[in-house]
Amino acid sequence: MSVLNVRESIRKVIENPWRFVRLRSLAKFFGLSQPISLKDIISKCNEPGQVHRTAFLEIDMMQGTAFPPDEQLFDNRLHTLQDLYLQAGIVLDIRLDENNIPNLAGADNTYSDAELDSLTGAHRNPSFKATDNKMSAYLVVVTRHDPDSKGNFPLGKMFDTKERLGTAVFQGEPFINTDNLAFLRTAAHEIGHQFNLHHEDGTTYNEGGTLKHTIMNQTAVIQGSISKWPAGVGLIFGENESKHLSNHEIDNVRPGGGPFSKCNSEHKSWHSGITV
Amino acid sequence: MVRKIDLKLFADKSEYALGEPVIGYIQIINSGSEPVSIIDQLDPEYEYLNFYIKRDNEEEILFVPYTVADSILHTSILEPGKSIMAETKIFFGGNGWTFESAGTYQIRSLYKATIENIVDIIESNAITINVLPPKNEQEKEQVSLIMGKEQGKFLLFEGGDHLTEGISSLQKLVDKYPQSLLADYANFALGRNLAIDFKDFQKGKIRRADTDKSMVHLNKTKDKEIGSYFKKETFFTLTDLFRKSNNIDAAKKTLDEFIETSSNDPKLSNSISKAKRILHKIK
Repeated sequence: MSVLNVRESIRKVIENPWRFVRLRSLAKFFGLSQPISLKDIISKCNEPGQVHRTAFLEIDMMQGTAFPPDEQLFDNRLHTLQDLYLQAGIVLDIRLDENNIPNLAGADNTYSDAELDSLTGAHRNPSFKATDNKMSAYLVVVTRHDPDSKGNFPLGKMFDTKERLGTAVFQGEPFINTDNLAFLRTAAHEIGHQFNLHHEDGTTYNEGGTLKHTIMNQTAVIQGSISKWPAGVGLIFGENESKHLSNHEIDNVRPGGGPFSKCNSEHKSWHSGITV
Repeated sequence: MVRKIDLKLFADKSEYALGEPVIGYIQIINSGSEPVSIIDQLDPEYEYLNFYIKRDNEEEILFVPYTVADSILHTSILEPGKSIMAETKIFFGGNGWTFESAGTYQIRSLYKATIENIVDIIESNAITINVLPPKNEQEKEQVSLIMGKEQGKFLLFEGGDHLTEGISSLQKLVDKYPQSLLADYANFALGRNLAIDFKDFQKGKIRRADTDKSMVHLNKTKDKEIGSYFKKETFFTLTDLFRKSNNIDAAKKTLDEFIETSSNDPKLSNSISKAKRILHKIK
């Protein structure tokens, strides 16, 4: 990406009237003390080795749900979706779009994959489509998904793994409805899938004697770990996840750029089963 | 005390027509001497269970499901000697039609899950299936009518009113070649779709179930050789439709017929138990 494009992208993020934008996130990312100016940011972006990618993130919500939380205090730090992605090398330009998608489900209040497929096709806003220099991701907050054959209700999904074109978080799930940490983390996790991150890209690290799990680990893995939920949550992308987001070939990251699982040999080395 | 878990993979048969939906049946068995707790979310969308498929001498590839899901922890405790079963639609996924051309395919699966530092990595047996090419021009047309992207999604979802091109092709298949094998699967999906409401966001409204039309489609597949998964779903859907129509005698008859014709199929043992429970409930 050219310097001009980076500058323009950063300017748009900073001037974005929507939520989530906090200059202190950018300052933290670049290791600067607050306050930070636009000049400082662009200066930092121009330093050798700085790689930035930008993406629209269109978020829609269904009646009876909410947008993901602006910020979440966890482990004595404030976290936002933008922080998480910025630290991994992607500047998210979040656009809260439709906030009133009709809840057609009525009393049963759940949706099938086929119905979500029709929802995405009907409500994706073409104004936020990808450009040459900017990716485009999509998240819709829905009430609940239909239960699977074992009676389990998913927390979130990415659909159309061929193109990686959309994600959903099911805010009607009690686990998400009652825990903003789970809501924010699930949103970040599902969007990660859209950028071609997999569960096995998640890693663990030790923080103060507690085993922490980075964002792409499944919720169930954290719950089943020794550290449990929420202590085992690491609200951060790990080294592998960040490397993929910021450095792997753009088509292997960009939603719509290629099938889920297809990436390079480095990505393959992180886990089995990746088709190169 | 020994912790030992085995993974078995089955298919309905060893030869499939090109375009015929393939189901992978998985059985996790506690072969050890102590109860084991396992993550029982066996749909590949959760990524604990994966399928690997190799065509002829080509490189083995991972089957990528159409969706990827995250969920809270869900486990089952398996007593020694006990097992759980699950079925997966492996014919269509994120990369489109899995068995997209005739040939010999090897399929294996791998279960990988960790609970409280106990790591289970279990590989199944490999199975081989032969996908047969169409024998004539008519069969070629049948294949082309079923193997589109929208048709694949419709068969996978067992519904989706918005997939209009797919529905149109499947309808043409059942109209033009009503006796064909592939038409049986088209009838199944068309019948399942109409058996329930569809929340259609493209039209912004709910399309209500059409019991009569659904039954027409499902009754055409009921007695056909379409494999265990399709059979049980056909019978259970017909039972539901009869019950919703307050035709309890027909519901009972449908369940009785299912039990009678499926008792020798080990893949359907859980379904037979379920059918018996329903019968007991509605008597």
